[in-house]
Amino acid sequence: MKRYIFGLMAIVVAVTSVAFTNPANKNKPLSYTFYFTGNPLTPGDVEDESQWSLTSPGSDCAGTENKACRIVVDDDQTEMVNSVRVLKSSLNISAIAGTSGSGSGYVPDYPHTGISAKANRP
Amino acid sequence: MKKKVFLADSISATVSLLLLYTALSKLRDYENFKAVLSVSPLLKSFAALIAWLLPAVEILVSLLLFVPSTRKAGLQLAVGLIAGFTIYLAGMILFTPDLPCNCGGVLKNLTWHQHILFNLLFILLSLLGIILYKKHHETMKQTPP
Repeated sequence: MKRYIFGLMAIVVAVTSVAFTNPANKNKPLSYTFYFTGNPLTPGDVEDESQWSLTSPGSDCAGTENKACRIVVDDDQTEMVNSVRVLKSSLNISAIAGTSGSGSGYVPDYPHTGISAKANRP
Repeated sequence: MKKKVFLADSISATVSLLLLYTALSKLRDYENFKAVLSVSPLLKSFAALIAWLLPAVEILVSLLLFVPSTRKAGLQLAVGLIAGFTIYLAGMILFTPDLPCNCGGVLKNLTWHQHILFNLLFILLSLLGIILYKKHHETMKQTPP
């Protein structure tokens, strides 16, 4: 029985830690993936939160990071407008030139508060 | 000898705590965990499967670490599991360093490099536990009844 004490303590600590570390709503995803729908050659479009949508355009967001493609944002950076989930303008995305320079396109600056991941395309 | 078993049991409990905590955190944030896996270029094809299989395996290993007779096997599996995570982390650093690690609970706040160091520490700790259990078993075999 003595050899179970540490194990029992581990279970208690693990369960209580999980119970107290993240009190978010379990029924709601904590983040959303938004896809860029604007012109990636225009930095203003990349910075415009309304140019990002939950609907995937179908293009693969991988490869050289030249053009904005996809971001994963925290739940609190989104809102429902006319039953559609959109990015809040307070997210304040800022655009930077892609890996091959501004002539090849713009991508969202990262790391950025509220954006937990990004993937761009060539 | 008792000290060695005591130390090995403490290591088992620590590794068990880590695995159980991360597994429960992943299950608690299931939708978020799946969402992050689905944007990982390495795992996106298997995101739904991995989202529940990984915590299930972590819970299974932590159960093995709970039972004294299976602790050594549990530590061996934990080394394999954590080594697998570390290889994945290294791949992420090389190919997609901008993606987050949804590793469960507070661990997702670590940077990739911190996470690799953290994993290496737990691999070393588990290996130490395995050696201690092995030595204990050898001594038990040599001791006349």
